[in-house]
Amino acid sequence: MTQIIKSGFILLIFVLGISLSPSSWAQGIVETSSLPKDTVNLGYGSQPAWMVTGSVSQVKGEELKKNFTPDAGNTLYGRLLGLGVSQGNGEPGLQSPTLRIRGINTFGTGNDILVLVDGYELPIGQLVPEEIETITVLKDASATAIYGSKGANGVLLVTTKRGHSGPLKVEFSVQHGVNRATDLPKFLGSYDYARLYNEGQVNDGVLPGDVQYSQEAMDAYRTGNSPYLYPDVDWYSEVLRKIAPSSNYNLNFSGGTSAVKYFVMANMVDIGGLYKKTEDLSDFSIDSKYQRFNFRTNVDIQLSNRLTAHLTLGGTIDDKSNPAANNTSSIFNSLSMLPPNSFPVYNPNRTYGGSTLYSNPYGDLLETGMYTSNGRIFQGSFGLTEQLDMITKGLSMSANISFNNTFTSLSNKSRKYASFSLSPGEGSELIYTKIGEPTSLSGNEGQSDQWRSTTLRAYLNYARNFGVNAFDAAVLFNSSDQSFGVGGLPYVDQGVFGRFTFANNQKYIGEVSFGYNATDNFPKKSRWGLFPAVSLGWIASNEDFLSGSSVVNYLKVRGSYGLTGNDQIGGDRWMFRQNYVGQGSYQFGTTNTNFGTIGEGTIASGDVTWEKQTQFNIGMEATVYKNLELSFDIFQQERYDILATPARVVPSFIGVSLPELNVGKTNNKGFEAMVRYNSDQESDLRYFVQMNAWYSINKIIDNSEPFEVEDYLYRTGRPIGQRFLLESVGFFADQADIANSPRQIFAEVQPGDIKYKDQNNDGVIDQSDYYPSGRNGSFTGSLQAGFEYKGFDLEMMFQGIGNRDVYLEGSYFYAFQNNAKISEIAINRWTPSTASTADYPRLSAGNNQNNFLPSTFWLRNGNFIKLRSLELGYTLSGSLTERLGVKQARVFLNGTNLFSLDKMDFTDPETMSGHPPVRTISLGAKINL
Amino acid sequence: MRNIISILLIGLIYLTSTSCEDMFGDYLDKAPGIDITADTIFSSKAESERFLVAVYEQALQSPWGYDTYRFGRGQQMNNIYNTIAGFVTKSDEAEMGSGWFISQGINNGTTTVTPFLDRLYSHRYTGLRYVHTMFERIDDVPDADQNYKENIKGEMIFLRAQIYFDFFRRYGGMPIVERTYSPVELAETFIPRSSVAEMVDFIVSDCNYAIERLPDSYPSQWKGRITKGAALALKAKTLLYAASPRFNTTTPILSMDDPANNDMLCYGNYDENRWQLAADAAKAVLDWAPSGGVWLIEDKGVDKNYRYAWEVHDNPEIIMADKKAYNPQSYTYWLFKTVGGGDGPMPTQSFVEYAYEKKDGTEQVWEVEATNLDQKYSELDWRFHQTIGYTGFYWNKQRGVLNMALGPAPAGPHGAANKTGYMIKKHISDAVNNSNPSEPKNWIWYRLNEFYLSYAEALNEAQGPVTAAYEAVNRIRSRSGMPGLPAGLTQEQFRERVRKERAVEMAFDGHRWWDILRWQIGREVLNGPFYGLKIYKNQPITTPLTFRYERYAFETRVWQDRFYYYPFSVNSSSGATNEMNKGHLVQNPGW
Repeated sequence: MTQIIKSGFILLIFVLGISLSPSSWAQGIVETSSLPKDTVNLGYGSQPAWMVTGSVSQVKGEELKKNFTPDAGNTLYGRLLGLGVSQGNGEPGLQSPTLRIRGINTFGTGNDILVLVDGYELPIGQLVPEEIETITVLKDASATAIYGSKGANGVLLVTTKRGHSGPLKVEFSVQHGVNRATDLPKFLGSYDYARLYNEGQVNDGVLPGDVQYSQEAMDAYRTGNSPYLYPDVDWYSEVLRKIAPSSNYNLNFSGGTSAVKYFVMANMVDIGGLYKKTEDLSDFSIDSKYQRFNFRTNVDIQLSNRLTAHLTLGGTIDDKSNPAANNTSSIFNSLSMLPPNSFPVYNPNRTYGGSTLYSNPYGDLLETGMYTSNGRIFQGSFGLTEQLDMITKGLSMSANISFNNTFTSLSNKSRKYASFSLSPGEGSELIYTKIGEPTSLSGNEGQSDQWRSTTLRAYLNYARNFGVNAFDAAVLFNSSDQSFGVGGLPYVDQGVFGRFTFANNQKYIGEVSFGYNATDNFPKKSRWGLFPAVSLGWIASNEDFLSGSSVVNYLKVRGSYGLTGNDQIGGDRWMFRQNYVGQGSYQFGTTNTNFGTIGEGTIASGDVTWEKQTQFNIGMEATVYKNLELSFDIFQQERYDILATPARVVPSFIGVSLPELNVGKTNNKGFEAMVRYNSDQESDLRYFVQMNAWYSINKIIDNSEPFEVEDYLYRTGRPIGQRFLLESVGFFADQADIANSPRQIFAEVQPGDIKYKDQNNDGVIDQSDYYPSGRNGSFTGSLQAGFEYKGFDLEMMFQGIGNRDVYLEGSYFYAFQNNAKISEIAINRWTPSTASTADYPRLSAGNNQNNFLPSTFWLRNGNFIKLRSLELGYTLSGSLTERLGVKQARVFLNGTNLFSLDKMDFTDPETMSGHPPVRTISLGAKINL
Repeated sequence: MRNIISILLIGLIYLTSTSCEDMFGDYLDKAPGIDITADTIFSSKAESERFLVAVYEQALQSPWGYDTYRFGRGQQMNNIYNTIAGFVTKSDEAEMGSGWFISQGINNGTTTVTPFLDRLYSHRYTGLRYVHTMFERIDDVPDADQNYKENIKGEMIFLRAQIYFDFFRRYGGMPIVERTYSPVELAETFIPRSSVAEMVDFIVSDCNYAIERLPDSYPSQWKGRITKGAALALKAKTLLYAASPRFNTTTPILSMDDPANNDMLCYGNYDENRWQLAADAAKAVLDWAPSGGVWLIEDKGVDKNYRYAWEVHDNPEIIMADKKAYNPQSYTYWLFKTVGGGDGPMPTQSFVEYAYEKKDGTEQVWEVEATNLDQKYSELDWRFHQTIGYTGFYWNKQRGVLNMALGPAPAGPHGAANKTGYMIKKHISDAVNNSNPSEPKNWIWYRLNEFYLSYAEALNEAQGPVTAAYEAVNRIRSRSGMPGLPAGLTQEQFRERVRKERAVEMAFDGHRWWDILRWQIGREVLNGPFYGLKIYKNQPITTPLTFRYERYAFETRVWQDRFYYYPFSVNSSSGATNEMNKGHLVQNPGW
């Protein structure tokens, strides 16, 4: 690290710079009015949109405010063509979605996209929309080749706001809202629970006279007249509150003179968790909450007429607390399992109800301890840019050093407490049986984790116009190291990247780019890799035959081909080195003296290298009839050199654990399409409608899997992550049906059990009958629309995923399994009298070994369309506000995650266990001074 | 201005003329860590000896032919009970109480490929890789002298031969892997199964290589390392197996699908000289023994010599023992907790009847039932009393006298049912008891007694029952108080007597199953009813107790000729890999 900093300073001293400012280089060209005027950030520089030949999508930070959520990732649903966003859970501070660009491309471990904030690796989740200028997705090889071995999964570039010349602008906003769980599972009450449990017992062979619940008990459950001995508790409503508050406050300033430009921001997020407030009720609890402070200072200083300094400082500090030792998943797990009749929340004497089988979730909340954590993220970079027009016009150089790091410390204290189970005694007397003994708090007071990244970068940029020809070039040297955790050797990268673009007459564009980089994880001879790409663009609308056309205002066709890499290959670090590890011991000598041994570890993989991907992309963008924008891309990506164990080809003669070799192959193809209509900007009613759609389907070409007994058991030729399930063919009708069907080896079956298909016709249903089943959600679409009318504005975003199946599992769906409860899904279960209409197998009170096996019975259509955001606003301006010294003021009503259209009756189609996702309704105001 | 430009140009030249590697020195190289690599391990004699120990640990797989037990390496170390059981219950020596044991599927002929698999198949290749790695790298060790290196090489090549012998006696000819391979190389290299002739030549040639380099003995702290005697012993054993009917024949008992591949199963001709080679090799072991400090235990008394030789660690009869300390804990669990050994390995009455003569050298008479069980036992060969736990046998101080009698409860601590009426005593020393259940045990690979009998057997086949053959067998018999074989036996009669002598002398030592295979007598000895005893106290009760018995068939065994050659795995389940479909192997007949 000191080495890198030292080298960084040497470079800073040697700065030969060019302005990062994109406007400087394109000056002198008379811009044709029909060309898009946007500037697109391409990483290490930007280009005007017309010049871009790669496949990229960009969204402005302003738009992201429409989703009111503390995680910036959750603002991106449907907004960026080709960026898949999969919802995580709804727990404040832990809700980061999974981001994928054009689906997934490897069956290896590394499908994460590269996320860069102002050019350097940093998580995106904790940024707030107010500090984001743009977010750009780089998709094809032309756009990602410069990222070399890190680019193949696609790149997400986040650019934070910087100041512009002009008077001071002040913006203040406040937004208050409430969170509410979108879907909670629907479990049956005590009466139905008891009734159906008895039915399950009888099905399992218990004599009707011996079932668990007597008629007397059933009556008590139905009437609710004995709530302590025969309770009927809805634990969800005992533990969770209906709504929880969520607020955001933002203040930012920006402006600048010719010498100094600045953007300064402070933001505060304050969210309450869904648990009931318990801190004031117990010494051993703490309210669930999440608070975060974001700050940013981005400053550019013109030091001389050639030299500019750039300072980027951003950061967050967050505080999170949770009761019950932060065991969110176990709390929600016990809520989903604990039968409603197990015990009351409190016994008559105000002790906690409990049983030996289950703890009391409300008691857990109050009595089992507290978790607090404090996290910090720091983003800092310092750079110098020098114009070198005196060497040759259009040349500049920059140098940057960046320090990005995250740190989390936490304290987690827990304890046990006593609860009491009740049983009837003499007369109306109740017998209390104590369960558990209270203990004092114990656990971990201080624990921490960190990540550090230090990067040094030097650029050489050249941009110049020669008559009708424009030339743009960037060459960059990069060196970085990253450390994870407290110790451990850092991960080191070095590389040179370049991009050369040539445009003739704003019609013909050609670009060559490359990344040439190295990692310390590979042997010296193969640690460098070259990742080149070429792309071509043709702006047909600037040709004579189209120029001036009233139909086609703008038409660009582009194509690219190139090679990119993925360095998240999985496996151990330094796989090229043959390690020797302690194995066991052996004895020698007449006294049988013990000797330790060192033996050969998994065999070294001397040629280990990156995953590589060839990417082919053809696209077009157009504006027709002035207001209609279109774009379309098709792509094909071939990923190879994926690490896999060569189980198929290497015989066991090898005598050692096989290494993972770069033998795997996959492909991925698909398309992306966008249509947008913008109304005339002059009229009173202004609106736009935009539809995005994309599709990608991948396939494993080679994964070197071992030989299988049946052809359909191979993963090769199937999509990555293909489910293999038994195929359900209905329920067994009667004993004769069972006798005439293939034997299911998993358990003795009876009428009403799920019947599986004998895929290989061998008369037995066993492991060989698992068959590829289910779809992976390969289609994503979004619809966005906005309207403005006389100060009113309305905007909405729908996002949906199609061609998707979900698999039902766990206590939401599996009645009575693992002593859990029963939900509405099981009401129409199989019984002899409902055999023809049943849609759920016969009930078992015990663990059924047949019906809950992975089978197509539990596969459901998981397509959905969600209204991710809806905002209605009214803007006040003009004389009224100016009198108050306010330039503009806007009030707005926002709904985030308002509803989902889907076929899932019992749960959210994306989050089917644990903390539910949340719906947020909020009211806000923004004032510009 | 000009200065600035000069500085910048110099800087640029500096940056571009030196590579990134040079500019940052070893920036991209891994910083030194505490991990051990192939280069550090062979950087000194001391380091490499840690690897040498690992070679022994990995390459010396259980001498007990662990192939029919369920578990892989690791478990077997702690489990003499299962080790014995997995082995002896396949042969006629014993029956397994636990029905799930794979040997039960072999007994009744129903076993299929997967259960029959040789569980150490891939472990043997692991051992081979260790051996080859050491062999290939020992010359790199800077501070070891040439003698030391030659010694190591001899040990390695012996271990290779031993591993191949263990393959050979299961499968016939096997692919010969003579060095370490990289996975890529091996994926591209086709190594077919060798013929039996090639396999035997390979093992013998390795033995000869080792014999030239190995010492007769080691200092006591290195006891357990491979000696010249071990290499001679392996050579003798290999040649004996090679000369035996399974291999030394024109056609195999079952033909391969393609008869052209039958050379993987047998020589394709009978050659009497193979027996002479086997005899010479066994004689070489006997001749070598004194120089290695190895001799037959004959001075402890006729009722103790035999037991001393299996019970005492590092006793002079041992040519080679696996010094890995095995732990008989589970056996004692069975012995002391689940009374009567109903779940464990139980010697069969059939074996007792076949193997054990009376002390006077005549056959014991076993009626269908009789009241004088105690007397019949007492008349048997001294070695019976040093091998088998029977009703009336004094086990040790804690266990006292065994009593396997059936009868009304409570039958006492020893009285629960046992299918055959016997337990195995051999390999469980008296020191093992409930409070000391884990006496470490060295497994004996080669003991000198074996080579007397091998010599006699081979000599008889090569030359007929000559005097030297008689002398060798009688040396073994007489040290246990048994009279010599009657004079004037025919070659066939002598063959039968020497085979029986092997069954007695090496009972439960892990030889019988292999002997049955190499003599191809499975159909004769492992087919048909198997007998045990139902034992009752004589009524009225006598003092001391006496017992009567009823002889009964507890099971009918069914022999399959395909058992003579083990199968290769055909699917990827149970941790085994599908070796067949990788193309190197030809499946053995009948599987």
